[in-house]
Amino acid sequence: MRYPWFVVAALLVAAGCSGGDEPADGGDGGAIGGSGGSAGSGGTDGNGGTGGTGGAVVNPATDGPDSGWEPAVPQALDGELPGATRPADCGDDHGFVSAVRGWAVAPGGEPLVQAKAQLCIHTSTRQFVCLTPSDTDAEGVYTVDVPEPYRCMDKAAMRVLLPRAGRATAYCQMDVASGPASRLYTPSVLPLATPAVDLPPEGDPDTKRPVTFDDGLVLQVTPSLYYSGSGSYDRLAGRHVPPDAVGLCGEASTFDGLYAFYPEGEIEAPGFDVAIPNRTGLAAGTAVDLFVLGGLECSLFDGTAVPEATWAKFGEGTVSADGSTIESTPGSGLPCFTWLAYRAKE
Amino acid sequence: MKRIVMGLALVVGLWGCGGGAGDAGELTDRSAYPSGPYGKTAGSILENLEFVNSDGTPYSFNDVFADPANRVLLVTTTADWCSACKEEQKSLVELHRQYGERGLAIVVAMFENGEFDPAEVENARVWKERYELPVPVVLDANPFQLGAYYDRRVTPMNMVVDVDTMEIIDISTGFNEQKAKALIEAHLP
Repeated sequence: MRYPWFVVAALLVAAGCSGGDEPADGGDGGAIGGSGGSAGSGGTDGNGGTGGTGGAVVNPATDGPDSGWEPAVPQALDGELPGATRPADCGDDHGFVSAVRGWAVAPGGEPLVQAKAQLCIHTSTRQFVCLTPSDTDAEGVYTVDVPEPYRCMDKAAMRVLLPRAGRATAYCQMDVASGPASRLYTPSVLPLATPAVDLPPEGDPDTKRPVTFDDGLVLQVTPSLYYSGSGSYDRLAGRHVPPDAVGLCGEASTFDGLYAFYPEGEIEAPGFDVAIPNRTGLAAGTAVDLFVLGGLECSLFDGTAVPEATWAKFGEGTVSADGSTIESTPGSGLPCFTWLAYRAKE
Repeated sequence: MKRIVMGLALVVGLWGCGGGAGDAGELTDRSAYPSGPYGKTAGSILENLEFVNSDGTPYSFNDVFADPANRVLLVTTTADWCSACKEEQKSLVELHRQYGERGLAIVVAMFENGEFDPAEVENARVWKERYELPVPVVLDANPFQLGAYYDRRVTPMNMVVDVDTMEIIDISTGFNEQKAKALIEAHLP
């Protein structure tokens, strides 16, 4: 049986069209950029840390000294911590970490129980993921198991906090080249932030007002510019931390002075102007650089993101004529309520 | 006779192009949410989960399905303690701007606040406002229903769904904008 050309053509068109986008197979629709770990089925809750506390949690209500004490490393830190074998497709130009064990304490060394240790990872496949936190045990020890698809990584930051405790959050960069099973012998130290000593009533949230912290630090706070997922204006707290404090990581110990804040939050432009007590006796007129620590979400006002556990210069200040304070210059408002630091210009 | 045969052939050809339900370009019957069996992995039908919207009103996946303009759904989970999630929100706004008119629906499901407690409506409201999200931000806490669809040790989760059939196309953890765009492009009309 012979068919006219247009019948054959129409049938061919039909056949070609129907071979297109078929949703029934859940296909991937062709080339998919990047990799991206497929989720495992059936979720599992956290990794349980390193054990329960077995009763009421008692954490220190006050801090010991920031400096001059020797951390007493818990034995559990050296307990068994198997590390996975690096797969062939994770090249030497990436880090490979399958488990991290560390510990959290208050200044002075008292362990912090049920603190949260949370690892956020930039993977070798350009994914950015955050792991569900692990809790610390009675010795303050935590263990983070890194799920398999995220072990090959370019960088990672450890965030340690104690919810609802008024303590500043600690951030440190992980050494992703340290091996598959990584033990952090330097503890995460979470300073207890002192509630602001002079906190004007919130009133009009769009109005700027001075908020004074315990050693005389003054921030010009506009409440509507501040956002925190952990608290609000009425809970603002902070305190000075000396640069030789135990547990500081990265370049923190290179600053002339630091302040730790709570509740961690973001600040919109133009930020909070700062007036820092001149504790180190810098000469009047001395210029200083001001730095902020990147946290959950921190950006400079030019749009530059400040990654977690990274210090970034956000502005400059000058020692006042009477030598009492370091005052931020106009346009140098604090952009994040995490940690603040300063250092005299050379 | 020749004209009749030619016309019949063209009808056959166009019918072939139309294909079955869910093909790009053809609207399906949206009067009733697809029946089960439902599943929690790629290739299965997504159950009509119910949430609370950031304004306190009920919200379900049927709200996405019932709107015939919606063709592909991107569901993402988020928590106030998740810096990766915060970074993703800017991309969601851009995806909505780029693909919203072509039929991309986005739903952000918030499950925990910054203290690791189950999120509340106020958290979802503030989240939507803070990131100026032109898409629904819903509360998925107590229980965290979408947590059963992926490895909860990792956040965020991103799920792509064919709205015509409510079939799950892909579930992944972490956000890869390039991959998301490729999936969306491949399944939009």
